[in-house]
Formats: sequence, structure tokens, C-alpha cells
Amino acid sequence: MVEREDSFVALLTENQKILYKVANAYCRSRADRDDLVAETTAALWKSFERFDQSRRFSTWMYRIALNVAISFSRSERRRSEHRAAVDVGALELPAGEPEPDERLEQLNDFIAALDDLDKALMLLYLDEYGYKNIAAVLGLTETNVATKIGRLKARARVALGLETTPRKGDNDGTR
Amino acid sequence: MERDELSGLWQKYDARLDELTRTNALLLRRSSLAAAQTGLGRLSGKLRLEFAIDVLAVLVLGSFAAAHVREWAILLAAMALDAYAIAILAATVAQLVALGRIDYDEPVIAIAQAVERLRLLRARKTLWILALAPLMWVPLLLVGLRGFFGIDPVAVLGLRYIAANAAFGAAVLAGAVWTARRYAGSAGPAWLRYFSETLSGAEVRAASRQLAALTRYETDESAAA
Repeated sequence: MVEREDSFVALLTENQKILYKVANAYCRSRADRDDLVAETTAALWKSFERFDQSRRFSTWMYRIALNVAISFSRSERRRSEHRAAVDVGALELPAGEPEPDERLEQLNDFIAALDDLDKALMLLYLDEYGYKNIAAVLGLTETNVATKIGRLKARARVALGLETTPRKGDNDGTR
Repeated sequence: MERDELSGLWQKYDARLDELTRTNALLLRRSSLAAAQTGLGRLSGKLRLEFAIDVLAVLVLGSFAAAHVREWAILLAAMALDAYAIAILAATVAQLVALGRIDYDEPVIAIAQAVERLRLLRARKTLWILALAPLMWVPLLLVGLRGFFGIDPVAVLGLRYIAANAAFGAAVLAGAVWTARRYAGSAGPAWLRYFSETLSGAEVRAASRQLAALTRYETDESAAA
């Protein structure tokens, strides 16, 4: 039991950035983000018993974290809507962090404004998961993933002020 | 935007998270892994409690009806309430089953659909509880007077008074539906919004629309516009 716990904590620590990336993308308030990180950690620990060691931990962790975040965001939506009026610091990093990068903030704002499934898609794409892996995590076909990523890239370009209208042919897959 | 540009930005974000997580690693170690509960875990606890209350209500009302088989008005009232309780119990069981099937290790789209189906079941259950509650007022009055005070309500109150109460229940329902439709989607206290969105059917329609959107998301393979 202790050995399993140590092994879990080591893997979780090694991949904990996933927790923060998902929490930052799905929650608008600090309190919600903290709750989501705690809930995801609990869900990961509960599912760890069934984790197949032959699989990549980070992919498995992403899947669980995204599922908890989507369940969380759907059940907590009312609460977050109520909080939004007083807590608008979307995607801020904790105090004491380096100066914010404007372009990075724009990218984070863009992700925060996406719907739940597009957020999942964008996070996996940005973390350089291949279309095949993304399709497996989300439960979509590779063609569907490629199409959606193409659209998201076009929207990102507009959101980041690089273009006023999306270009044609942005559904070309990179892998 | 090429992938390199996005990747570059994302790597910056990664680097900032590296600094953050270096300080948080110890906190993670100290946290109690089993203590935290997920939102669905809390919902499961709530549903189990609802299940226990529903079963108790069905049993108590069933026993009450059996004990009053010779009093037609009391028997009918108790059977109506028992049918109401059984329907609520069935809705609770359906939610427990749906919740039990949710496995976080499944693909994301499957979980999103399962969560939305659960939301739809909850919304439907609340809608029917709210819609039928005013109509249950008369059976509740009859059973309550007989059960708690030993009074024969038909003899004491008279059929005309009971009929007036039934009409009052129907009027309350009509007023509640009108109010719900009037205030659905408008600003106001959280309880009023919840009441109006649920009783007007807006919550059920929203969950149904979301489920349909998830199906479209899953099957859309058309080229980008």
C-alpha cells in the first residue's frame, strides 16, 4: 500500500503540470481551481489501482483530469457564474510568478473561452499529443480530431490578432 | 498560425508552471489522497440519502394504505401518495444506475454525455416533483389528518371542502407554471432562477440540447469552413 502510494505520488509529481493546465483552462476562480486540483488528485488516486503500467501515465492522467474537469465544470457552472462577478482573474498564475506575457495571456484567454471539449482538444494538441492519441483520449475519430484542430488553429490566429478572418485549409493535420 | 508559434507560447507556459510546481510538490505529498471527494462522489452520497428516504416513504405509505383498505377516501389518497413516492424512487434509482456507470477512465466524450444524461434525469425528476407537488396537497391532507390526528377527514371536512382544496392545488400549479415561465432566464435570487428554470422545463431543454450538441461533436468529420 505504502509502495503504491509512493509510486503514485512520484508519478503525479512528475506530471503535475497537467493538473494545473487543466484546472487553469476549466476554472475561472482560484477557489474553483483549488477544488478541481483536489478532486482530480482524489479521482486519480481512486483509479490508480486499475492503471495499466504498460500505458503512458501522462496520457492516462490527462484523460482522467479532463473527465473530472468536464464533470466539475458542468456541475459547478452555476456556482462559477455567481462568482464571476467578483472574481474575474481568469487563468492568472499565483502571486510571485514572472511577469505575464501578453501573447501567452491571450492564448490562455482563448482556451478559457472554448467549450469543454474544444478545451480538451486544444490542451492535448498544445502538449504535442498526436492525432491518434488525442482521438483515443477524447473518443473521436482521427479525421474528426484533424478537422476540429484545423478550425481551432484558425480561431486561435484570429483571437491572437494575427488575422482578422480564418484562412482556408486550416484543417490540415500536422501528424 | 503555424504549430511552432503555438508550441513556443505553450512552452513558455510550461516553463512558468515548472517554477510553480517546484514549490507545490511538497504540498502534494502532504495532502491526504483519499480524503478529497469528487463532485460525482458527493452527488452519489446525496442520491443514496434520497434513495433511503424514498424507500422509507414508499414503505410507510404502503403500510398506511394496507391498514385503511376499508376507508375508500383514505385508501385512494394513500395510494396516490405512494404512487408519487414510487415514481420518485424509480427516478432516484435511474440516477444511481447512471452515476454508477460513469468511469473516469473512459473517453472524454463518453463522460461528457454520461454527465449530461445524468443532468437530464435530475432535471426531469425535479420538474415532475415540482409539477405534481401542488396536486398531492389533498391526498397529503387526508392522510395527515387520519394518520397523525385519527380524524376522518371526509366526515369532518366534507367533500365540498376537499374538492375546494383540490381546486386550490390546481390553481397553485397553474400559478407556479406561469411564474416559472415568466421568470425563466431572468436575473433574480438563485432559488427563484432554479425554480423557474426547472418548472418551466428550460433546464430539461438545455440538457437535451447539450446532449444533441455532444452527438454532433462526436460525429462531425466535415472539412473546416
